[in-house]
Amino acid sequence: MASNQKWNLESFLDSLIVELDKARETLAVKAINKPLTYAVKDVNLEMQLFPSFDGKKVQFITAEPGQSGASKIGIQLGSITDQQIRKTTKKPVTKDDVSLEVIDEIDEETRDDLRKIGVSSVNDLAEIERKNVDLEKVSKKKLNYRKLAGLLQKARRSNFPPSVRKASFSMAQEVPLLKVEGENLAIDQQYDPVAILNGQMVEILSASRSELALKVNKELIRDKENELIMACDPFTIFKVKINNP
Amino acid sequence: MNPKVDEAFLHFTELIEELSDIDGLVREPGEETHIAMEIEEVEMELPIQLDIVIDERGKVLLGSVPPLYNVSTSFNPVFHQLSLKLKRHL
Repeated sequence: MASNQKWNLESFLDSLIVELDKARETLAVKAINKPLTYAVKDVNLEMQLFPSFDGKKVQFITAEPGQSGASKIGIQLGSITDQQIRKTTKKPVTKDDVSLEVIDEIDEETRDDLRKIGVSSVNDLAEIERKNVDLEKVSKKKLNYRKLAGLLQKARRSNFPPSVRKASFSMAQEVPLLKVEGENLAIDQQYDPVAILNGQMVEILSASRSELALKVNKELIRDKENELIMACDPFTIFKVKINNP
Repeated sequence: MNPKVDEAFLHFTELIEELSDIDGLVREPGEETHIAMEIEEVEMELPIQLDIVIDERGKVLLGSVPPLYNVSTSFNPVFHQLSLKLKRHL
């Protein structure tokens, strides 16, 4: 083991708390399957160390074998009731949520910063946004909602890729319709889908997860091959070729 | 190279998970007895060794392990003290 390194109390506490949170989250998952599990109520860490002051900041270094006269620092975390344990232990990330760990676009430093403020999934981020927390202030201007929200939505969307099963032209009350059937088509109500048929934008009459109905001009429909480009949301664009026999 | 915690040490999360992995059912031996007790709360206090590493971004990596060797030497490793209180998950 290399010789001990100096550290500052803030970074140490950040890491200790994050590590403890991780352990509590794992234990909460375990409790789902195993009826008799234990949650961490109190942790008390008493360390042998030497403080040092370089004129600007106080740092600590843990004592090495053979050194005597070390100071003792005790860090006590917890002492909460059962109810608080349940309240403060985060629920495991569910299927419809996305953990920040799996989003490659978020670098490790940002991930650590988010974890420190208790954000480890998309739903956590939505929750702090709902409570009007100024993310830029909390993260010392390193993060903002818009940038993160884009990355998170993209990741969430990749869990539900669109698939087209059938696309067909039909007539409904003298109006030619193009019906696209499939799965995970329009899943985000925040965005209005956009459709382009053979190079021209067409009106979307209805859009749902499993079906899109487009109003098309007769003149637009080609005899043989038709090309439809659909943008369901900023992260989902697909192109289909439709043969008109 | 990015510094890492010594491989003989566990991450603090792992240590807590290991220490919390308790089979809390106490049963009288023998097949015919039907008396069993469940542990409600566990308190433990143990010496641990710490390996505190600072990575290139200044982040503290915390490695910890119960005493590694049970051999008497001319001077002992530094033991820090960890106390843990576990409560049954309801």
